[in-house]
Amino acid sequence: MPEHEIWLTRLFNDSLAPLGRSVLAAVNLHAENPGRPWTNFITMEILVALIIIVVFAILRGRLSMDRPGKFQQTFEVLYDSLKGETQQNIGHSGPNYLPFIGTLGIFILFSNLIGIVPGFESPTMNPSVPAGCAMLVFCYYNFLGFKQMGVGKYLAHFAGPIPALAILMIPIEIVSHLARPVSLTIRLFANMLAGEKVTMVFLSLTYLVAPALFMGLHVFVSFLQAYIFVLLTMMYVADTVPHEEH
Amino acid sequence: MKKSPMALANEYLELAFVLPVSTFVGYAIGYLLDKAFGTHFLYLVFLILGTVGGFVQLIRRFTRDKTDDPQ
Repeated sequence: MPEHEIWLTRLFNDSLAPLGRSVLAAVNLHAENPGRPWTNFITMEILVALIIIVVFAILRGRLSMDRPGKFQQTFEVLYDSLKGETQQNIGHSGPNYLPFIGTLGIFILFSNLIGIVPGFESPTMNPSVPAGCAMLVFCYYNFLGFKQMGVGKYLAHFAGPIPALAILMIPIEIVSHLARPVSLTIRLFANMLAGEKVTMVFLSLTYLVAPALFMGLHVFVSFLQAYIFVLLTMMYVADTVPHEEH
Repeated sequence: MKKSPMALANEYLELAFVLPVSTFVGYAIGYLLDKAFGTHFLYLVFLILGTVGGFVQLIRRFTRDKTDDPQ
């Protein structure tokens, strides 16, 4: 069943369809409907990326040591809490991984929250977006493992501590590692989809009180799921990078 | 460093996902390998490996938590 196009996607498809087809052709893909290659989650991702760029451009222009405004303080709280979590979960070297983890966290948070705005929908409701983020996390922590431990040592840790059990441990470890992006994807996508659907069901029943309550719940779930995603990323990074004593 | 209650709650929530997802991923790998090699038994082997992998993750997490716990 073709998805319902939101106004932004309709705008993209009406004015930028050739561009969408060229981008897809460049990566050897073809749209189901060549006349309308843009989908809701792609246009919403582009919008979220633009919003993040604009928000941080404004924030950067307003940064002040003497008189930090409410806007700056909000993001300082966000930065401090993320920094604290990286130190708790990864160790003293935790803040080194903050640029990647923080960027991912902010993207997921904004993607989750944009679904609250009427006329928009959360791109994380589509499994492709959480899957993309989860694959990025998978590549990132494995890259860190190879970089910090060396190819041989990192691959050797898949074999476990007992050489005789290596033949059994290697496939088990491979399955366990591949389960991580699947688990991240399902959790984020299912929670956001469920939150949106519950709100829509109550909105179709009544316009009074109940939808507002569930929209509040959606905001809470948006923050919680973004937090869970970054915390699990930190745990995976902590499992990969060498530990120091705290 | 002591973990916050939210971080701990999150870790335990993750445990609920570990076993079913590992089993599913094991089955999916076996199914794809069966399709690639034209065999009919690898799905079962990898299904079991996935389940064992999930249990290994669970036991590893519990062991680590027990070691971290100062009593």
